Amino acid sequence: MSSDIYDDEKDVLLDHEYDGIRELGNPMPRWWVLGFWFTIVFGLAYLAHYHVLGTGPSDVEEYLAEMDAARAPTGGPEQPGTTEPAAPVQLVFLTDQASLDKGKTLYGGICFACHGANGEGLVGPNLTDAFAVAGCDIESMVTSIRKGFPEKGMPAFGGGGPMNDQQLVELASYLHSLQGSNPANAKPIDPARELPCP
Amino acid sequence: MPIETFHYDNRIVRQFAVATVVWGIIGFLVGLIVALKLLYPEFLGGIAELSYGRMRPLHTNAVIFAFAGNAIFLGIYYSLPRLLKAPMWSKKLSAFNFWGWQAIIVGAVVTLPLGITTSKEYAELEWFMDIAIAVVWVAFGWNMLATIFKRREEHLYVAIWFYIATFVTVAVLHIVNSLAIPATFTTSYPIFAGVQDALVQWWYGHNAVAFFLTTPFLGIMYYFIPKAANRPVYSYKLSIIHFWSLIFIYIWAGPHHLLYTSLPYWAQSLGTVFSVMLIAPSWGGMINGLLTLRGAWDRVRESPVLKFMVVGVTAYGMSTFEGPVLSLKTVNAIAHYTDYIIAHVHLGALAWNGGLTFALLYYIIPRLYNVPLYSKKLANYHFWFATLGILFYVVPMYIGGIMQSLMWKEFTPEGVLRYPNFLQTVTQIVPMYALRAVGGSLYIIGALFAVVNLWKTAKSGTFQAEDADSAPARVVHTTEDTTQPFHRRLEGKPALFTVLTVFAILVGGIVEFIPTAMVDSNVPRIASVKPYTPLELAGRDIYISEGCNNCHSQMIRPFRSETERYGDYSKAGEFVYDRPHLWGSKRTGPDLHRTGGKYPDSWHYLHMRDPNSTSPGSVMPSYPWMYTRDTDFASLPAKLDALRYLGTPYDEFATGDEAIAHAKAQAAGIADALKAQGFADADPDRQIIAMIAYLQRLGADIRRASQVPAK
Ligand code: HEC
Ligand code: HEC
Repeated sequence: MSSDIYDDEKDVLLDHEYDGIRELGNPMPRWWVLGFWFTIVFGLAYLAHYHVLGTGPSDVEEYLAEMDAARAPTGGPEQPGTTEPAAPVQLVFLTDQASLDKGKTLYGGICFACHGANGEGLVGPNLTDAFAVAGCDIESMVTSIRKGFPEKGMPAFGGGGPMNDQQLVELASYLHSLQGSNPANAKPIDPARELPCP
Repeated sequence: MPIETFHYDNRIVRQFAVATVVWGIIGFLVGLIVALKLLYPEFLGGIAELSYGRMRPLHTNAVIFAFAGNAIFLGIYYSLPRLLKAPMWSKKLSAFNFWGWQAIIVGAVVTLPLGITTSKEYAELEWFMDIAIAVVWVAFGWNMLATIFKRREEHLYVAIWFYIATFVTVAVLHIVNSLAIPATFTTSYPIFAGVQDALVQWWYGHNAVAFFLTTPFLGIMYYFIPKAANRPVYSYKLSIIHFWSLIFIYIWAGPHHLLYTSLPYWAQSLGTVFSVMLIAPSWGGMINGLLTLRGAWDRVRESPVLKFMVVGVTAYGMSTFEGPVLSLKTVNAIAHYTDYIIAHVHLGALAWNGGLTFALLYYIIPRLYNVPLYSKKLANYHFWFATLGILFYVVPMYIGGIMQSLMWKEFTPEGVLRYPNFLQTVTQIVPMYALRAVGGSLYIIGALFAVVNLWKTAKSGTFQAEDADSAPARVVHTTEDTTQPFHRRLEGKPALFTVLTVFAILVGGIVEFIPTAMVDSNVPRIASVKPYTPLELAGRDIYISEGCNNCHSQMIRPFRSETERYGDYSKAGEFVYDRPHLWGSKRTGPDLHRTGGKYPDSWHYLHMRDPNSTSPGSVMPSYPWMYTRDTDFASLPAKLDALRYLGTPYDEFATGDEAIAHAKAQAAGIADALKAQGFADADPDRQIIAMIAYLQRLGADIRRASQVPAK
């Protein structure tokens, strides 16, 4: 075994030997020892901050603060995201491209799961044909989406649910624009329940 | 003093070497299959035994317990006798250890695809397998300790400290985490429920990483680096301090897997701070390994063994820094449930455990056959394939994980989720899954080079069944040499050493567990939370069998982005009847804790048969067999009995027949309603009906509650 590196003053070779393995008596690196102490102090400070002094928020307090912050800009009473617009929403089918695109995005995020990617119908009815269970005019459609059909499996999306009235109108308008689009795999009409739209 | 001559058994070493290589390749290949399934959900689809939820645990178990496990035995059976100057105490026990362990692995290869699983990560094997593991593990430890007691070397070298810690801690972890009441041959229910079960599970899960994938490999490092480099260990003092601090602190860190869950907040904080305190003890190992190579770097360039060691030890340092950072709650809020964590574990697994294992093989095999390695060049190719493979694996997964998290949390200026359809967040990262599969393939190709190289090496030499060595017998001192420092004396007292180790590793677990289990305020009860009905229970057991928890969490964290997407955050009291807990650790699919009532039964009926029909582009596997296989009604009475024994109030059902009748009636109700909606083939006896019953129950209890106490 070469001795070149061990004659450095720090590198004292100990008299330990195991299957030819020797050990040096080097001290622990200083930065390592200091780092260790630092993490211990950090740990104690962390516990003190959150659990002894009570200066740090709990997970639930953090959550409530996050929700407040999200609500603050609109000042609305409801969950964030469902704040109703200040002025009452006009119940008319919108035809501008921006609103239809918004409706389409909302549809693609949630409604597709039950009504199919193109409104062709799945566990929910086909929304592109000229037949409906609950009416084809804007009021009926907005009501359908707002209240849902819980007993049939469609949850309520408005009235404190995830969507505000403006969004309901955008959705209804988008669906209206799909009328007569004849998507593939369209679900057949249920003549017993669905009535033709006027 | 008379010099004694004795022989080390190389046969057992060779056996473990072969097993390491064979199971390693199998484990990697199963990993590749699982990776491909996220790219092509149809790949090997339609075969229940090979579906994603069943194969993923097979992959993790194979690489941890079969590949790394055999490598641990390989390293210990080679180094321990040489360090002690004593052959293994009993060849019979060695053989029992070897064959017992292989039999358990074969058992896992059979039972996991059959869906016989507890669902607890890295502890999926069912109760009868758990008993076998405990027996074989104790046989191993017994053999090791007995060898230590009849050693010729006075003191125990640091590698052996780590081996002892490995043995005792894994025994404790495995036994406690496996405590369960068997209901049938293939099902058992853990004695802890909900929050407590989760705490015990991650105390185990985290320390499986610590005491199965870290401490034995540190021991291996401490033997093979100085041997291969022919250099003394850098600092004996550092060895002592980092050993004791590592084993003491590690045990506390489990709750960092449960940040922002329903685990009591104080326990989460303990997980965080002890994880941060782990940086230095972990780095102590890295420093001691790398600084041992001071002045030997020319040799590192030459030697494949040292190259793999250096990459392994460096990756160990990186992972053990990354881990504590991930334990900070702000970072954890981003990374948890994402593929970032998958990258994190693979850095450790592929580079640290894989690197050390291949170093071990390249060191030992030529010595067993008394020839030089067949081809250094091929080993170098292996090294570069492995390194590239690791990069191609972890970098895309890091990026994918962060992308996932950002998409989950993004709100539009109007204040709604940008990606309300979870699937949109999945399809965006599929390209990353493709790169990951490339990385994995490179790693496997490299490993195949190793197989060829080791095989050719063996062919070119002759096997040395035994190595002879000689040493004087150990003098047993009657009086203590008090001039020696305390720790030096302790190294000569294996019994005391073992006892102190047990003490060090017990403290953390006890302090965290006892209050969580005993103090009621840690798990506030919720009156509306009721036990599952017999049919829902049957459905839950199917969920467990199919391993749905490998893609779905059932734990909504208190973040706006989660409560908007999934509903109110999960409360501790909701899980009191959950045996086992099914919180999950990765969201390849959306959280399901409040999925009940979100869709009509008919939706699930379509979705489970073919997820693409309701969710075009879904990576969720289809489950056609649930529509042909029958629900196991007959075992319900036994299951209810087991749960009743554990304290679940099932008083409603006086007899087993009543429970079955109740289940059948509930199933008939669901099937009839489906039939009325045009699903003519809906059959109350089929598994899908029980599955739907369970899914519709999820989160339903709390909706019934008029008032929910805050956590
Ligand atoms: C969980 C499944 C589900 C989801 C999600 C869903 N629906 Fe429905 N929807 C249904 C069902 C089922 C019906 C049929 C109710 C009936 O037959 O009385 C329905 C009916 C409707 C109707 C009335 C159709 C008619 O014929 O009068 C409209 C409009 C509608 N849904 C729009 C939407 C919109 C917009 C969304 C997304 C915000 C949506 N649905 C999401 C299941 C769903
Ligand atoms: C490979 C991962 C994977 C496995 C395994 C898996 N799922 Fe899924 N699951 C997904 C993905 C991705 C989605 C989202 C797309 C979709 O709806 O299919 C999903 C969606 C769901 C949904 C709809 C949730 C919602 O809110 O929209 C349910 C319910 C569900 N899975 C149940 C199950 C059950 C039950 C099992 C086990 C039998 C299972 N999953 C196994 C990946 C998986």
